[in-house]
Amino acid sequence: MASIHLLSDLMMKRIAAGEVVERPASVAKELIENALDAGSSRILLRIEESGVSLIEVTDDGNGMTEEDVLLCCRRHATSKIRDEEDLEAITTLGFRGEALASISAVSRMVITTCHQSENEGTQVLLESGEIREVLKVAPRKGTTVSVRDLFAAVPARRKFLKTPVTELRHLIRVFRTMVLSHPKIDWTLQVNGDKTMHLLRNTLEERLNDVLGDSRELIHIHRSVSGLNIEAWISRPGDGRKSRENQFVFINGRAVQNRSLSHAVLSAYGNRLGRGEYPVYILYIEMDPRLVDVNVHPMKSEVRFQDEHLIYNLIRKITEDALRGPAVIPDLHLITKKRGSNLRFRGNETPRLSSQLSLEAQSTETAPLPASVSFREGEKRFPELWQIHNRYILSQIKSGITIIDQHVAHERILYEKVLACKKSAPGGSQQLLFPQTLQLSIDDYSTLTEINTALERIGFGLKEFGKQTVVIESVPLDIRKGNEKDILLDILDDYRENRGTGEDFWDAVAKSYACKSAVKSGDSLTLPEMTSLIDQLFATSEPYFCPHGRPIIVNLSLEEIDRRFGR
Amino acid sequence: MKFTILQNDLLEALQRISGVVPTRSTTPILENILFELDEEKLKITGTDLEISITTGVTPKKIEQTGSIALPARVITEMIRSLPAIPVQFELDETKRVRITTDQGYYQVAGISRNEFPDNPSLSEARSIELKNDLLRRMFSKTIFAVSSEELRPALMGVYMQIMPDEFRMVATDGHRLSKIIDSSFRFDEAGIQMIIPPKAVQIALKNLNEEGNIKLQLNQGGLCFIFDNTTLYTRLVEGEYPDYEKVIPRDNDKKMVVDRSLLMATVKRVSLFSSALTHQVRFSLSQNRLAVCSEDADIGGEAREELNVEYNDEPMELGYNAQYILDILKHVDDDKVVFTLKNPVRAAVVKPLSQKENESFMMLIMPIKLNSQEHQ
Ligand SMILES: Nc1ncnc2c1ncn2[C@@H]1O[C@H](COP(=O)(O)OP(=O)(O)O)[C@@H](O)[C@H]1O
Ligand SMILES: [Mg+2]
Repeated sequence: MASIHLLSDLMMKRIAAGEVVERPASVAKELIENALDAGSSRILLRIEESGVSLIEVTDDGNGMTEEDVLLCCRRHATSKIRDEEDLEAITTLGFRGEALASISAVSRMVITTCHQSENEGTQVLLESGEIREVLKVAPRKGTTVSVRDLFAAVPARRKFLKTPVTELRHLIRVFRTMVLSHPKIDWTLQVNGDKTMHLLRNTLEERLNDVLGDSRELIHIHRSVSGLNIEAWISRPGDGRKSRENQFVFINGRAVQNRSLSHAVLSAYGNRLGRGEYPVYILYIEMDPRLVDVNVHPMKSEVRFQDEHLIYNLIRKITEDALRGPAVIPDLHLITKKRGSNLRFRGNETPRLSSQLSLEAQSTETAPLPASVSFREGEKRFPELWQIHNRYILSQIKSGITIIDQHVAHERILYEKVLACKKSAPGGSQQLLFPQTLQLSIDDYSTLTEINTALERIGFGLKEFGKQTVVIESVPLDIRKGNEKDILLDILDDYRENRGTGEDFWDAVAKSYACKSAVKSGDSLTLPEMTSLIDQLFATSEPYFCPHGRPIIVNLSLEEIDRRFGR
Repeated sequence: MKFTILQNDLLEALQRISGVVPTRSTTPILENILFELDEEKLKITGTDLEISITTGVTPKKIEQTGSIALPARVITEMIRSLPAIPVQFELDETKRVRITTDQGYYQVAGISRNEFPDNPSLSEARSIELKNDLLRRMFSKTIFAVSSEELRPALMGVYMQIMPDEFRMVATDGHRLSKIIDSSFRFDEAGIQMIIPPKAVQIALKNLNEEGNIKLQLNQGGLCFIFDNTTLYTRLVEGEYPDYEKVIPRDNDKKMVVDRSLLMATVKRVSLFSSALTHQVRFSLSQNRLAVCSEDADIGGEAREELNVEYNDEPMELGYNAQYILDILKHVDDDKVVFTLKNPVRAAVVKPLSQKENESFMMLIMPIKLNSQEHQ
């Protein structure tokens, strides 16, 4: 590799300006990019206290000469580009020559490196961007950059950091993205000295498994057209997740965000996606660097295509083809699963209407219902309830008819139940005869550690079983049999989304749990189930709106119905 | 095709197959019943592709053989509403069937026999002969525990294991399990195991005679029951049955013996006051006493009853789904039931105090961990 030099004034002006070090995760990203640009085959990321006390990246790449290492923390010092022409065809992840300068200005940095042309290593200590000490050290192939006390001297910046948990989550997201972007490298992540994750060089498929978890099966696409080489993994229709977390686009090894590409994929799925369902996709695009501009934003994660139309149509087309192709047909075991539907058998559900009725008498005294929607207005008998489209519960009330959305109704009930767990004794926990083993992705795992205590109080009994593997030993009583794994994964997904918006911890857990465990629209309910649902709904503090603010009950008055009929 | 048959004979036959004919299917031909007439017998068949039943009935008079598929609902409803009189069926060249009684006629359009799915072939099937009463007993002691959830397909059936010197059946839904073994059984060939869908088990239970033997035919993926007049074919559930022996606890060291009908009545009453969604009840065990309690916070209901039991161990609080307890008690024949326990999160093993000769019958029930324990 060329040696480091300062960019000319002209070049400096051509480079998208702006701050790149906004949080520990961005430091990790820049350091890892440098390691990758140095041609490393092994990379270790160490983090302490969610990055504010230490972020350290060690690689086995080319290293720097003493001369270079003294220069590398200067602004606009880079070995990667020299002139305009280089800027038009960027082949490295870095090119701005600013990262080390910006990072070292707000931290205490130590760089230890050794270049193959030298028989001694160099160690440089910097504080607030100034070189404090230069030492000769024993040669060791590669480079270690440690960043300590990030923003310690800049309280204004430190104040903007989120909770340690959030910062750690961002860090893990960066790591996970980097792992996916360069699957052929040995990656190690160490958090607080112990929690280590080691990802050996693997096939891309295995790597995807490491990062995404084993829960979904993906369709593989490989196409080379118009000078582009595209390799992609996308989820089957119906296998989507509840957040956008598992959507990645890599262009020439760089993770990028591009609305137009996401849109291309989404529109290929079209109505194959349920409401609130997001496909999983990992796109690897290899293309001529001259046809894509990464010098758009200082973070280097936005790109502009010379021919956006072409790329858009291409991605959309190959996604559509794949979704139409034979790969979409689920595996045999999934077919057997589906086939069972003819055999739906509910041997153990004895209708309990009679017992419900006997409870009625008792409940009216102790727990009076809200006056405005009483089903019992002057009625002795239990009102008739109908379930329509396995989605709404319909009943006659004095003023007309009332329609209840079964899913949001149950959501409200469960939501309040969880919030109650926060204060008082939690609900029971059904032990499972066959505990369920779950292999989690890095993300899911770290979310789980974050909310495990809450999950336990709600009634999940989880046991750790080696790295990223948990065993579900018991579940809350509300969870339908057989569904334990999926519900837990969905809760983790959903929680991350909620939490991202800065909600209260318990509130976020309660919302996720309620949303994921509630009966779905499409589930058929027995009469006792419907009556019980309605009883419980009116025992909640707010029976009319679900935790997300959607209405639960809609009344249709007789006048309104009459009016429609032109009476 | 032309024949005359007595209304009640035909109705009886139609009712034998009505359970399998889907009322609404994406394959409309399945909403039909196949009529096949030879020189001696009328055979009628209904199928949902998973299960098919063919049953034979003898008409009063056969004039011309033939076959046709007719809409199940209309035919069944019509025959049901007739009095016990002779009914004549006659098929014309345009595939219409005219059904004539002395009161009038009805005409329906039929569908060619060729469009009706063929009965699965049972060539290369293995034959097994079993005692009717044994099969009935084993089925009825297990079917209640079959899972109804599609997410774990292998659990959606009764697991039948025929071994050289014993005959077993097991069913579980992951919350409870039932296992019955007949050890007087002998079988000369290599062992066989299969997972039978519950719907087929239920139909078989209806058709099994009190005594005598029944022949089963088994091939790749399918099982056929050959009853007197009726054959029932079912596809078997695919997949591997979980290793149930592994989850049966062997070191439960605390024992409670209780009167079956007393406990059943108690749980039934107390559970009326438990939540209709969770059916949770609590067992408080102490020296020779069991208290069964429930509460439903949502409606402010609460109940508690005490009964005498035999129990000589430390006090324990256990949570159960009352429905599961009732299901289990229902299937014990003995007056006394034995619960063996270990702790509040371990499966309880439930058995009759005295087993039938050559039989070993046990059930498992997973408890509900109670909230109070978390704070102890
Ligand atoms: N891990 C490393 N191994 C070898 N060289 C490195 C490493 N990290 C940084 N450098 C050198 O330091 C220079 C400055 O790094 P940086 O500030 O990140 O700018 P850029 O990556 O954009 O060139 C790089 O161009 C590279 O020559
Ligand atoms: Mg860089």
